[in-house]
Amino acid sequence: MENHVKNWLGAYMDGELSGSRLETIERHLAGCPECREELEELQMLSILLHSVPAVEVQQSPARFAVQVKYQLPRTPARSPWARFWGFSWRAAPFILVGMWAFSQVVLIFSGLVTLGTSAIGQDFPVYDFLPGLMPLPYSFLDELGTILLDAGIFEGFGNFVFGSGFIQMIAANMLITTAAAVLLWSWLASWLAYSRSKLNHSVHEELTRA
Amino acid sequence: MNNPASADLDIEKELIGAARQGDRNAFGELVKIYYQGTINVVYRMCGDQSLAQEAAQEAFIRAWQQIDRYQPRFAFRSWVYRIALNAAIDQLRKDRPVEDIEKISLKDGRENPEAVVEKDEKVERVRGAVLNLPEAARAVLILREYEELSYTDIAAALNIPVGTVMSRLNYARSLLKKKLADDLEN
Repeated sequence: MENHVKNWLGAYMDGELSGSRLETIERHLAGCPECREELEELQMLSILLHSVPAVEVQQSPARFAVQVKYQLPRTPARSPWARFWGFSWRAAPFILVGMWAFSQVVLIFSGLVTLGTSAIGQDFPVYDFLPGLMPLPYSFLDELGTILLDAGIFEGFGNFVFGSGFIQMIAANMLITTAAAVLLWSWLASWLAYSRSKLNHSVHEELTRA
Repeated sequence: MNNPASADLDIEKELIGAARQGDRNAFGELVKIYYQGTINVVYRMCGDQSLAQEAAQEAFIRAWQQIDRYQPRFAFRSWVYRIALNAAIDQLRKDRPVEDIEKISLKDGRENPEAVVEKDEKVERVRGAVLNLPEAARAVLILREYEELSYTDIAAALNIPVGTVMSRLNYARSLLKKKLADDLEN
């Protein structure tokens, strides 16, 4: 005798079955009074459940919607990703300025270091040219410059002679500053455009508020 | 039962998009569309009209707060119902007394008072039997029997597999059959 299909009768009654499964159940029901009786009980149960009326609504949907709207916080909460991107976008100009400042420090420092290393063994009037170097001991700069050069940092400035190295530094500085300025201006333009569209949207919302 | 036609689904999509941008009027329109279904769901979970009203309001406020997390691949109704069911369960767990269901009056055109009383008692038994189901099984039964959601939509609403929907429904129905055996025979 074929196994009973009682576990599938609820899904059958709910119209959730299809294809071969549906055919199997219908074939079984045609030849199994027990399962047919079970199906009838489920159908009776469904009718009984529907005898319980729905809630008597005290107010209209429109009135309820107004009540809800007045209780809503100003803006919907944002997902963690949305909050992250929102914060990153607002922090972008500060990050840009910070990175630009850092690049300036690096360029100046690398210039000083390589000046210090290239001054060793030369009668080079570093004191006169860069008075700011006066407090810095040559031996320290030489030591640091050698370490950094050996580590591959500031390779581009590795053996430069004062004149061409200085121009390289200026060129790098100009490139970095130009890039930072372009990015900053782009951010500013997009922020202005966004603020304007948000303002227009708020005005529209106020004018059409019921 | 609220079931927007496909043309209305485009409107609904626009409303959801606007609500996500902070448009409270658009969200208000969504509230109007889903108010009846939501309050039915919470009422059948709570069994108390005032609790249901509070839970429905709380559900929509939460929906507003979480609308950024709504994924369009699921039906909006399923998503709202999930929030509503959680709000209903939270209301129940606040240890509020359930309104005495004997006090709920039912409109009935018949004049025979005995028949009305009998019907009221039967409805009370059925409502009580549903309210006594475990929360997980009750939620599935309500969404299927009263809101006529498909198993797929129920699974999305409750974030469970379709197989679990089926087994919980079977369980709920078998419990109800035992509890309401006399009413079924009659």
